Amino acid sequence: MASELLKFLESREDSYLQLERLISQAESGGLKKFDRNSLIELGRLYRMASADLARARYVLRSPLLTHYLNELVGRAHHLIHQRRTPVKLGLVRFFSRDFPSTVRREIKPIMLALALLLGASVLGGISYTYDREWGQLVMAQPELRAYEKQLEDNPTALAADIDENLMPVASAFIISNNIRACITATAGGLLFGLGTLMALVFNGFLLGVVGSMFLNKGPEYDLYFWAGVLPHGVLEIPAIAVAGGGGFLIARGLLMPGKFSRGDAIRIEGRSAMILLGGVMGILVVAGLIEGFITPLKPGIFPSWAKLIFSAIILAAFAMYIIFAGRDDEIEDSELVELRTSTQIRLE
Amino acid sequence: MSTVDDIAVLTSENVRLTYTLANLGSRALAFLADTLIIALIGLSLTFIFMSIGLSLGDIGAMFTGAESGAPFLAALFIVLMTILYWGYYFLFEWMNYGQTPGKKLLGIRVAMADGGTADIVACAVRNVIRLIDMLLAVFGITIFILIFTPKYQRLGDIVAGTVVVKLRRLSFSDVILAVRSADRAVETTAVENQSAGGNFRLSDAEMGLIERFLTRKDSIPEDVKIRLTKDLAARIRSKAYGISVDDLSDDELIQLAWSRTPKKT
Repeated sequence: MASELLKFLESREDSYLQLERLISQAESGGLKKFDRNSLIELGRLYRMASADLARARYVLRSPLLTHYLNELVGRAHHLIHQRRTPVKLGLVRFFSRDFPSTVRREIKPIMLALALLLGASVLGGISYTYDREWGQLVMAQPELRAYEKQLEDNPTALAADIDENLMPVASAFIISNNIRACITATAGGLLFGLGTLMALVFNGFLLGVVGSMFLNKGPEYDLYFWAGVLPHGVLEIPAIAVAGGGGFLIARGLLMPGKFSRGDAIRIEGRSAMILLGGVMGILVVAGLIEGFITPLKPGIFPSWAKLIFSAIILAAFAMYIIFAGRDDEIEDSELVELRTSTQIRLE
Repeated sequence: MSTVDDIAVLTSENVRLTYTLANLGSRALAFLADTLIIALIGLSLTFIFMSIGLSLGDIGAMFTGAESGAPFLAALFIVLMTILYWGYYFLFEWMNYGQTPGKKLLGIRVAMADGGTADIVACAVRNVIRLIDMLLAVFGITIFILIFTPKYQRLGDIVAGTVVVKLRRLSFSDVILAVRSADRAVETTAVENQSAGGNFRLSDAEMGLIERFLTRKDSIPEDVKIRLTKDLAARIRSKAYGISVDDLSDDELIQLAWSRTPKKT
């Protein structure tokens, strides 16, 4: 005896299997490769399966069929309603529009992070100059003494003085290290902003201590010092500030959700913070390549004054990029817009 | 048949889709599996690059033998390790429809709160915040948060707006086979003759029980089957309306309930 359910299933077998095929095809290759007929077919079968799901749940009342159709319709639903940009296009759009416009929009917390970083470095420099023991705040004593001794023996052997053979390794190592520092600074925002604050103050203080070690050597080394830090520093400092700004965004969502619910606020700010962090990764790769390959070039090849001009050009180019890129095309992250408007609607 | 661990969403076609949240055990096991995989890949990378270094003379040659391009190899090693460490979860979850190899093994996936595929930003958020979750895990706070949030979210999930759900894929042939075997269990005896009027009023859970019972009837031990038949029939018997069930045996009763689609309670 065939039940109503079995008859129904037999009548649907071909349609469901065809839908399964189309879905698998789309999941592996994307909808882009579908021709007109397949797309229409997918839509038709999807609507049919949707209707059948409701029927299976409320009329036929078969948990098995409900389960099957639930997964099938779910998969098709994501395919049909997804917003997936091709990776290459997405990358171009990200760096030419999304990242710079987010930096412009969230410039306040980024500036706060920059101020904290630079303030801490000035404080570090002054403290160390005043009393060398302050260096222990950011460095273990033996490490600190070894550093000082090395500098005593050979003042030109700056940290930026990398053996030519080691350049690629140093570059990769520096990028990896900076990425860690920046991810920490952003994630730390969730600890009520304290993690971000600590990351910024610690890195700034360290910068100040190490910087003043060199600067205390005497004015004849000043040019050499600045030429050894600025070419990459003009990108690394803003990068850490932007990542820190992202951390403060998350903290803002957590502590001051404003008109949004705390959950919505933290999701909205979290997305912006991640766009900032993504851009920071790009900047860090460029900065790391400069730090590994260009900054250490011997004065004979790349004189110190030329390095300073190079730094100024990089800084200017970076500033222009942030100020102007994607100005006439300020479209936000679509998910973010939806999140904002949907919470807005719920509120009104 | 929704349980407390289900989340339901309405599609634009106004059809309800449900997802079952992954339980803590499978999430923990997936995490363990992923950790092992990361460690294995890391170790093999180290092994491969060290052998290359040794083949060039000594490990030091990795850094000094500029003419052989070895320093670039060492740099490549650092880059790969960095990508592995920071990118494993993010890249897999983003490119592989929310599944890392460990999650795939345990049949769970990351999804947006509406069940949709997690997008790139959400994957980035939940895995950057992973850092905080790992930090708090040391104090046992993460597990606490996971248990007490209604959707079993860790902090990364909350900020990203994601959930981890079970992937319960069922093939069509499984469904039709099960239904056929359930139908076979129903014989055209007394049941068909009873078909005048009346119906059963069963809940979704009871419908599910009947379907599951008939589907598996042939594969369960005899003593268990007798007990289950008795329990199930006792449950159904009182739900008959306008239909005489007093003369029916337990078996016949279940078959009758299956052969017509009962009303909802």
